[in-house]
Amino acid sequence: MTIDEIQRNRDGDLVATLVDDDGREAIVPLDLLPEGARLNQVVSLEFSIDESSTEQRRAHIQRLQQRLFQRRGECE
Amino acid sequence: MFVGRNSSARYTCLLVGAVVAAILFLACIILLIVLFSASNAVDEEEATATPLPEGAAIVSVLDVDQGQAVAIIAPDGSAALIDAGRSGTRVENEIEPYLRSLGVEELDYLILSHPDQDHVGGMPRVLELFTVGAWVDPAIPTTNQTYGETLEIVLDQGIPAILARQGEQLKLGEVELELLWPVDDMLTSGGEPDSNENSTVVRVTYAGVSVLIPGDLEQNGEAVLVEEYGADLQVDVLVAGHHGSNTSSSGAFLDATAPDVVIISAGENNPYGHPHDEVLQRLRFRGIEIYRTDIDGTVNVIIEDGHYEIETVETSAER
Repeated sequence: MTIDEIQRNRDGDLVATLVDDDGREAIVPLDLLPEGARLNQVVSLEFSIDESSTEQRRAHIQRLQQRLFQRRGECE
Repeated sequence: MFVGRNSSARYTCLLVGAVVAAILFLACIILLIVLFSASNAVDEEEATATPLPEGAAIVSVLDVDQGQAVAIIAPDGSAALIDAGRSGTRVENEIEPYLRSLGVEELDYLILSHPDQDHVGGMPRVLELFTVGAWVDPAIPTTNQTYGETLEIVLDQGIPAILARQGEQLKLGEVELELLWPVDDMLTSGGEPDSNENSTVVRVTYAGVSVLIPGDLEQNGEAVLVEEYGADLQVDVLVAGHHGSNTSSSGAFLDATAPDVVIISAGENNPYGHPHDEVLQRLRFRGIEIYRTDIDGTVNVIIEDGHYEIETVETSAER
């Protein structure tokens, strides 16, 4: 994807607009891109599903919900 | 003599000059005092912007860009906040100044519609800035980190938690907050409870006027509400579900709620295209008055003596 734009969003954070070959856009925080990334550079994105972290987070939040509500149903 | 006469004249000139300078100096001081007083008067006016009429309640759909935050303030000053936008920055720039300008120092209820970032993102900052009486939460399973952080703060601060479920009634002075949704048997998608479809749905009622705030409830949840509540679902003002997305605001739901006014909370040029044209068409077809935070800024419903007025307040933040 090409770094098409770098600008500040309404929260004041720098974000990059990445555009793929079909013109589809993805807006990502600039600090997620490699250091030194600049306009018109081509970057590659790679996503993977982190099942272990997903389960850990889900379980952690479920425990917090249980502590808060100590009740039946989906919180158990 | 010549020198002496010249010295005397110079002395007189100096004396006159000093007097004139003193007068000018005093005039400047007086002018500064007047200007300072005027400036203070303006500041005081700004700090108390949008004063509530005596006996009035207000429901404010705040302009928090793409996201949602709805404040409810009762005539006795008690207050609730439903959702907090997507970030702490939105809380600092929009929500906190607005609540303080209306004299809100504490929130009786901090209500979460559902744990998506554009609704839960500002919650930790709200909990840092305001004393909260009770945390109200549908407790939908999620992996959202900000939601987890929020729950940790709620636990650390020992804030009582209320599980948001159909039939729960909350009171803000004379203002009633009735929770119409979700139920224990949550709507699912892909075998898991769906975050949007199990949004906390709040009906605010005061002085015979009602406002419905359905979070990101989508058409499946809307259909169940229509079936369960029927004509009892009718309200004066509806906050459009899911920022005016075509996943929500079905024709059947609009017919059942039959609002005169719909308020859409959406960010300018948001990447989702909210509000969607189909929804705007459905609203226009029914002759419903439309307000949008991306166009109008913060939208207030001011309720008093059995009637309401809509007021818009353009946000000061850069769009």
